[in-house]
Amino acid sequence: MADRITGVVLLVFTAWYGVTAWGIQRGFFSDPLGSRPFPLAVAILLAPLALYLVVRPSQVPVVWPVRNLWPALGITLGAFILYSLMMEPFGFIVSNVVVFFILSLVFRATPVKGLVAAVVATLALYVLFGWLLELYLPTGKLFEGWFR
Amino acid sequence: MEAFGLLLDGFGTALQPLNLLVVFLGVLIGTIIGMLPGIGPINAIAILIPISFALGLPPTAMLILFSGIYYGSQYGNSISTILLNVPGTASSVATALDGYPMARAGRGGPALAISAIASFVGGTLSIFGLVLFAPLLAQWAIRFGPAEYFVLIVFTFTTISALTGSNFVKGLVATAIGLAIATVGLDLTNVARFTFGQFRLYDGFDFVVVTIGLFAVSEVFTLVEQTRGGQAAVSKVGRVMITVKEFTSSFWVMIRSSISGFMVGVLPGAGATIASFLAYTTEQRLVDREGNFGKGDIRGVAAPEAANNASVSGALIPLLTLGVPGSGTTAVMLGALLALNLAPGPLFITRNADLFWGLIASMYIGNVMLLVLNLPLVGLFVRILLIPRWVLVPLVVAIAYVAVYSATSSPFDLFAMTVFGVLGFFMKKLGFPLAPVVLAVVLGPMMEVNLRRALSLSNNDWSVFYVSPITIALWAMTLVSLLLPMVLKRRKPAAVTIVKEADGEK
Repeated sequence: MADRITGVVLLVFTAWYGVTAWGIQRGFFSDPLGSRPFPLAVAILLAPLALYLVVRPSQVPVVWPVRNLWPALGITLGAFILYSLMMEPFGFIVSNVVVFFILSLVFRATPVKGLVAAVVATLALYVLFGWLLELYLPTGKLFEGWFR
Repeated sequence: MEAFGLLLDGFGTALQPLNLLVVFLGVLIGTIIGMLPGIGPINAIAILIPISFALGLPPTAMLILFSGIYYGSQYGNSISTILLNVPGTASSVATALDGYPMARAGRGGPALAISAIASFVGGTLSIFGLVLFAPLLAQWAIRFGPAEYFVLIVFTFTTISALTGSNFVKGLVATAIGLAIATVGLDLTNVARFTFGQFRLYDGFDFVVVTIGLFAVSEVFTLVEQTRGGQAAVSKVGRVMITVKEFTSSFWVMIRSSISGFMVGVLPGAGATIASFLAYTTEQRLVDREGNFGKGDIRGVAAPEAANNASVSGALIPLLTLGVPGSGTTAVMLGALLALNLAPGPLFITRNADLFWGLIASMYIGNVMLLVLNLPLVGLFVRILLIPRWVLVPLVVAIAYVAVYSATSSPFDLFAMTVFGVLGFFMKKLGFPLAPVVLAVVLGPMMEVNLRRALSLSNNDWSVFYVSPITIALWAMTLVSLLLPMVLKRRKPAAVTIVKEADGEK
């Protein structure tokens, strides 16, 4: 059943991808083949494969996470998204402490241990990446005024 | 004797302080990440690419570092396999068959020792193969034009789809998804494709973002699922030594497995997993007269460990001589070389002799370092297995996100990485292999460029793709790789079944 649904999702994707590929315009200085055929070929390759999954799904059952695990998975995903949202306004230190703390709780740390680990690890990474390796770590737009 | 002089020069390069430092870091990181479940060499290399670019590491040092991680991880993965029965990567699943029973019987020390020694034998012997065959293949590949390259890439895709994962169709779907990801952005004539007017999509998706997302981020979700079971207990190590008798009984096993492992490594898509299982089943047939394999026979540890290390040198051959890698990890290494404007190919070894021979020499040095790290110091590494998951996983996540952000300064890339992580999680659940996606993301643009260049040169005459003897041979090999899954399905040898149960080759 899972394969059938995957096949249908892939078919929808292929149709969308193929139609978008069809709309690609030729470049100003172009070669004989142009920019359109390669993506179209990818769509033409994908379509029968997706159909095969619908018609002849494999018999191997998919082991989905048990129901009470989905919240933990959702929180993990949320933490990742939070990281990309927080990085620029709040900077590396604040966002890393927050995300590290959330993830350590997901992996069953006690709140105190998780917080200590988050702070220590963040400072260690800041020293390693920011000072020793001299990589760019954002200070955070919100705090930039403080250091000016 | 020309090669000998070149190798001496190579040692001159490899013994420079920076190169010595990176080979040590490489094998150290390799051992650690090979040991930890779920990280693997592909993630470590992908994470280190933006960092080493930001640091401005020279190409030679970068290649030495990444190769060190690659072969070092094959040493490290046996530690967790033997002591925890948790293979770090699929390529050490075969090691568990005899390694874990040995550890449970209180012989963890000898198991670790033979695994380090076999890894050393496989690692060093196969370098001879690399030195011997890489120039030969390069000489042959010098006749490759765009049309030949196009067909070679087709062959690589069909083989990796056939040999990884449990289902050929799903392997092909994974390849197609990778190709679709690769078409996003400006093409070679500066036409914007699948960008929807978003300027940040004009550069396409960086292969580092795709790789870390698919492999590292998705693995975090998988670990969330597993961790609820709690941490496994580490077996006692004991003295990490073997007797002379144990060594002599395994001697020819290691030699044979190194040779077969090396040859399997050269094939696209086959890699360390298939090499280790092939060596294990071959030796079982050859030397196991008492039926001890599977019950803790030391030769059952020696065979796969020699083979999976030897396969790494084999896998470097198509990468360096053809510029067409056969696995996810070598694909990521190619991506780094391309970003350095160093396109590997038939002339790569002659043009970059100092780089190639420096790499070869560093591999000898690295393998000696690994032997030292893995024999007397293995007890220290075992402690790393005791770091709780709630420290380890967030740490890996932080390093991955910081590495990507420091290189691109783009929160959009972090977001894209998360999306690829979700995609990777569902693909793994549904039985799609991930390595073909990464391979297709890196090779896709190359495939299209060669297709279009071949047609430009031939004035739109499609016969260039099937008239030369090389293209005909490559099409024939492609056909064989397409038929292979059906043959394997009918015969179903034990090794293949186990390989297919293990996760796809990384």
